[in-house]
Amino acid sequence: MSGVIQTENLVKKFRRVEALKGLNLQVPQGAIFALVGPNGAGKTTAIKVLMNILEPTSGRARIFETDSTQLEGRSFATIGYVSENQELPLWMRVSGFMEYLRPFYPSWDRDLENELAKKFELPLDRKLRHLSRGMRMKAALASVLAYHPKLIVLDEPFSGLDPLVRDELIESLLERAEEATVLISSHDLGEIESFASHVGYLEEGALLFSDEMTTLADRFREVELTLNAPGSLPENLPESWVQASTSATVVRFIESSFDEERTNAEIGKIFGEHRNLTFTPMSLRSIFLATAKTRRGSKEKQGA
Amino acid sequence: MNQIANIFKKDIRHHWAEIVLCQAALVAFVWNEVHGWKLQGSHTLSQNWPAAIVALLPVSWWLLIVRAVQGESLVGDRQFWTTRPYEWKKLLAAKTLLILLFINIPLLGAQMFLLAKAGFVPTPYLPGLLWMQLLLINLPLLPIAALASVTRNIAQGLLSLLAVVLFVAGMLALDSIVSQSALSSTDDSDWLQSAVLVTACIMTIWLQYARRKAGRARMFLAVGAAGMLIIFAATPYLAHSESGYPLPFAGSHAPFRAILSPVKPEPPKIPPDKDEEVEIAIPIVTSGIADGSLAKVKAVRLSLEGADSFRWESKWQSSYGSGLLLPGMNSWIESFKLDHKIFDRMKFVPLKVRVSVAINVFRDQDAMQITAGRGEFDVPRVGRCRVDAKNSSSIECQAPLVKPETLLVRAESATSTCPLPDEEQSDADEEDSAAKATKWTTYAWEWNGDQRPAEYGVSPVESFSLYLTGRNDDRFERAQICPGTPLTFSFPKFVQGSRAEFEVSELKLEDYRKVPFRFTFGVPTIIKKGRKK
Repeated sequence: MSGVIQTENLVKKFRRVEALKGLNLQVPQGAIFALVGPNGAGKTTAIKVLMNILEPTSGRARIFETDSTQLEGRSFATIGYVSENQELPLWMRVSGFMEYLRPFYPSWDRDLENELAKKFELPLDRKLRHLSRGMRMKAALASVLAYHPKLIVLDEPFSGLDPLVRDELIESLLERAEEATVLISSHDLGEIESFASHVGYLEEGALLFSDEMTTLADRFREVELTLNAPGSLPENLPESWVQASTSATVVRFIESSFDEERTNAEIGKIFGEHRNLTFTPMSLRSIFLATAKTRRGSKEKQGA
Repeated sequence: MNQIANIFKKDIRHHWAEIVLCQAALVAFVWNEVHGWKLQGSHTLSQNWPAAIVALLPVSWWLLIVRAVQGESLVGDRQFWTTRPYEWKKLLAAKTLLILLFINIPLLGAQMFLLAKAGFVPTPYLPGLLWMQLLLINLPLLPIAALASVTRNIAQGLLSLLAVVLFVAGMLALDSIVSQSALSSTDDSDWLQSAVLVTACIMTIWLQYARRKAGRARMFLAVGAAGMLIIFAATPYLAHSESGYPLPFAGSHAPFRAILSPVKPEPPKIPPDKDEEVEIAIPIVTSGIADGSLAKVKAVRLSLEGADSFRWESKWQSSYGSGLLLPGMNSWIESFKLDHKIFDRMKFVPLKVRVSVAINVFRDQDAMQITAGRGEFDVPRVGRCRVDAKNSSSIECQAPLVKPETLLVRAESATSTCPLPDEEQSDADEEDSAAKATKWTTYAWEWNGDQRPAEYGVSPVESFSLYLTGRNDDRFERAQICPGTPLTFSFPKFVQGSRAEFEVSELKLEDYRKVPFRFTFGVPTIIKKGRKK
């Protein structure tokens, strides 16, 4: 499978701290790939390595078939990168910022620039330092979208923004999504759930899973069933069943590899007679919470 | 639009204040130079503040370079420009263009203006001016740019400057610790240190612009600094060489001879201060300098040997009392410092003393007579000179770019055109012609070592004073130069280094002890035992 972004066993260490632990990531062309995970999971580090801001300790990353360490100069004419903590030339006015960047990009679209400035209601005569955080983010995004990049990389772009601004940015992003691949990192699952086509979950520098949103949603189900008589959970439950619990006669668990026929068969085999069996689709948030809790639980067990 | 031009244009907009400051500092410097020429020889209060003006120039350069380089900071991982289509060579070219256009070219223009103002047509000196620019790029512009490339902001830039100051202070401290030899030539070491510095700076800048590896770049600078320190510390040992000042072979003609002066100094009555090193003053007489030649003492050394296997040797030290050695007899007193304990132990013991004198011999040549004019007068191969209005034994000269390699100026007392003071005039009228016939010659000497295209610095006009002094028997005489006084300018050529030694037996140190003195408020004060608090 060829992806716009591919990483192989990507490791990044900061002295003794291993921020990325053999990351294998593939972002297919045309995807809106959401890289999610808790704070400190390694999302920003991964993106900085991809953008050649940081050098990997080992492993490699490729962007458009180019090794990330070789990305420089002209490579960035088709890549747009916006980060929440990027240092912009604050002394410049918004119009001056756009004017300065224009000559760098052969594909700069002046009409689109004007359209974005209008849409984002950018105060062109104000200095970047005098803009609110949201406005500054809009200016940064406009300066990226205006040259029709083939890859847009956004690191926590919506962090701390009010919902209105966030929706405006998402809307603009989606308008451009047809012509670009988008990699977006976020620790807020809710904000990317509505528009991401793919999702990868990163925790402690490792990718726990990476899938298409539809597949992921199909794969996870909250399962609830009622036994005929109270009883404890049997040992050796299938590995794909996580967070299994029982309360009197009610058994609940999350099936992380849902297939109605197979899951039904396994339930029948393990619990025998039962009733009121329900399979409830899960939100992305619930899926990640379940995954994170399961991982934490298994680590605690290992520790004990 | 070309990327270089785009970045350059942006930098002008962003750093206009620093650019204006640079140009203002340059104008102030030019004004100060021209004003300083007018004030030369006089001492006014306004001479106290030009130092600040001169300092303003490098400060303004530092500020512009640091701000321009840090405009696209090469340190950190949050700068927006690193993920934009900047090409590092073009970015570096844009910064270089800014520095050239607002530091180097205005300075070149100012230097040409100063040369013209001093009376020199500037165009023939263009190669020399470019050489000066190259030296200034090597130091301080390149190191400033290198430091700016490894720092994020002005605060870090200031810290790096502090580190440089500490480094230089460390070098100076080391200089005072490491035993120096006046026979050593540090020219090669200076060049080597410059080469290390320039290489480290270029590597740092390249590494930062091409790779943005701040850690490694800082390491390069640190290694460069360590390299300079090692060269600096090792130089006195490596460069110490007596081979350039050989003793004449037995039977060969010696370029000069040295002996202990037969005139024994009067023993001092005041005992030496216990806290001080004791100075031994050895009166030396040299002779044998060939006609048409002259010499300067490069260094002297004293060795002492006692009967009880006592042995002490000074390092080669510069000579401060010798002056110019001319054909005929030359005498002077050379002082050597001795540890107080050694002196106390050996002061009355008859010692075998050996004195070594190393000299540079020159052949006087290309003499030309020039009459001192009223105001400025041209001196070919030197520049323009004038008689010091406040001191008639001195002439002040200005040379374009560099002082002459060697210069000897002579004035004969008999041809002075200066009027005698009234009382002397009346005395003179009464003196007979025989007394008037007493003549002496006064000299001024300049030796600047190897000839260079230009001196290091910002001013293209080298100003220097020549004090003409001489001896009339045992009397120290000053020249009397007035408009119309003939002066002889010559340009001696270095011929060889040579060394002479003499030994004296049965010398007692106490007999040659020098009376210690100190300057208090500019007045020499003899230190008497018991009076020091």
